[in-house]
Amino acid sequence: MSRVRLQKAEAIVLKRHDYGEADRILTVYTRQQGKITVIAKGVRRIASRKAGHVELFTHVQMMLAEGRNMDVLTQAEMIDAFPRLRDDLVRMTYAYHIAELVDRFEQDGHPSPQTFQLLRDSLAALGDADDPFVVARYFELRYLSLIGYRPHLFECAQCATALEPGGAVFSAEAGGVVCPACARTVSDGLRIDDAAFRVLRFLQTREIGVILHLVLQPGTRGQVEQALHGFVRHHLERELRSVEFLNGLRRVARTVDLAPSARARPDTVDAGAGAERSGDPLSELP
Amino acid sequence: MSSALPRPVARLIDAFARLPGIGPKTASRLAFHLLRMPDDHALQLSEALRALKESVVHCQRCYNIAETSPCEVCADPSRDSGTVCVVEEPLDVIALERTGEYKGLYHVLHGAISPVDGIGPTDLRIDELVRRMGVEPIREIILATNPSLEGDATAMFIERALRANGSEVRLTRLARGLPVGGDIEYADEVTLGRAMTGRSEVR
Ligand SMILES: [Zn+2]
Ligand SMILES: [Zn+2]
Repeated sequence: MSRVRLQKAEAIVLKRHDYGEADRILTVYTRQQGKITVIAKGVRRIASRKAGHVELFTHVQMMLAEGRNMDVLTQAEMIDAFPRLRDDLVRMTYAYHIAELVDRFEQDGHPSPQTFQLLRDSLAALGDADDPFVVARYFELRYLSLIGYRPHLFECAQCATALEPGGAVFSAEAGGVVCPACARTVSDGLRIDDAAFRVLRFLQTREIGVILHLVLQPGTRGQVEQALHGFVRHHLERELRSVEFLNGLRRVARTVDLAPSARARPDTVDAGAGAERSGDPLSELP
Repeated sequence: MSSALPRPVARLIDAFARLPGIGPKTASRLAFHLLRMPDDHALQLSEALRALKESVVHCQRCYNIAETSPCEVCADPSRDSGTVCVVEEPLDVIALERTGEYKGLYHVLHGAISPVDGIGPTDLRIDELVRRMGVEPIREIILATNPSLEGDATAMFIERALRANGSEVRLTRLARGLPVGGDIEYADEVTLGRAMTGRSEVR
């Protein structure tokens, strides 16, 4: 008699693709083992008991049996489906963005409880935040720190002198913001204004609860996004699919309103002067 | 591995291996199976493949695959042209036709919005659906995309696109109930929640 070894895994579904007639191969990030691939048999059948529990971006408790090539999903019980990011194409795209980042940067089987927690909290926040854009940038800054690529925002990325507030030059190659002297030596310097610089510092150092009501002005959004995308692209050495998809979506959004009607639409909200709202969280910055 | 094989066999193996769900081993098995097959069976298969590419067209009204445009469904005067059922794939049309419950027309999107696969709204036949709204006497659109993340996103986008074009057509979504043969206790909360919202009168 063969004994199958079973083990529990608390997982978040990052990616899935169809396999064979009715199976699906899932890429999941687990608290216990980091990124792993598991096969979910029969889940594409409409009567499958497991299917709804292992949709993309769900937080799920899994029972896995050791298989020949990969673990086999034997039971799945959803912990959180983050339903609010499923009724909004823009939020969903940001969820895909952070899942894609984790999938691209992680090696199989290197667990990090902090990464798991950040991923979980960020998916929840993507549903709750006034502006999912802010959550995506928060995730990028925090995640880059966890995997050892923390962008320098408080001291020059090149010569380590303390940085003054005000306009700054961001260089992905140098590893963050550089001082005015070093700015002349980098080839990929991106000028960011004081508001964008403050937002980057704010997101890097605050807890996630603080950012839920932060809404940025369009000009600030653009600079923050450009700096971080450049940084991610530099380390991945390729473009993310979610970024291309989002750009396509933004073109469509000029004619079609993408946000559910009952919710605030950050792209059209005027946050007033600067980049603040809801008690001005940015004002506590040095 | 393929170097020891006659070139026509290797070519066929490569061709099979490009099909979804078929790995190199299955591809070899299929190729050798064909090699042992009686000649006329193998030729029938090659004829079927040729006909597939030569005589299958997209219906210019509903974008289903067909031998003619308009397709049989669109050309059938007994079908209700005031109702259009929007589906992801031609196979979904077949599944719905098998129920015998539906008498309206279809609109085949050829996929669903999927950030993961890089499929955006403009890669699907959504503009074509919006255009049909302008020229056909459509009273109701049934959104019958898959009950998945992508299917739901697609249905939502279509709703927005139609409303953005000023359409006030009646929009419905297939009832998402519990799977037949399933136990309530095993249902996930999304499915159970939807089954509750979409509950119907007991008749
Ligand atoms: Zn410096
Ligand atoms: Zn047709």
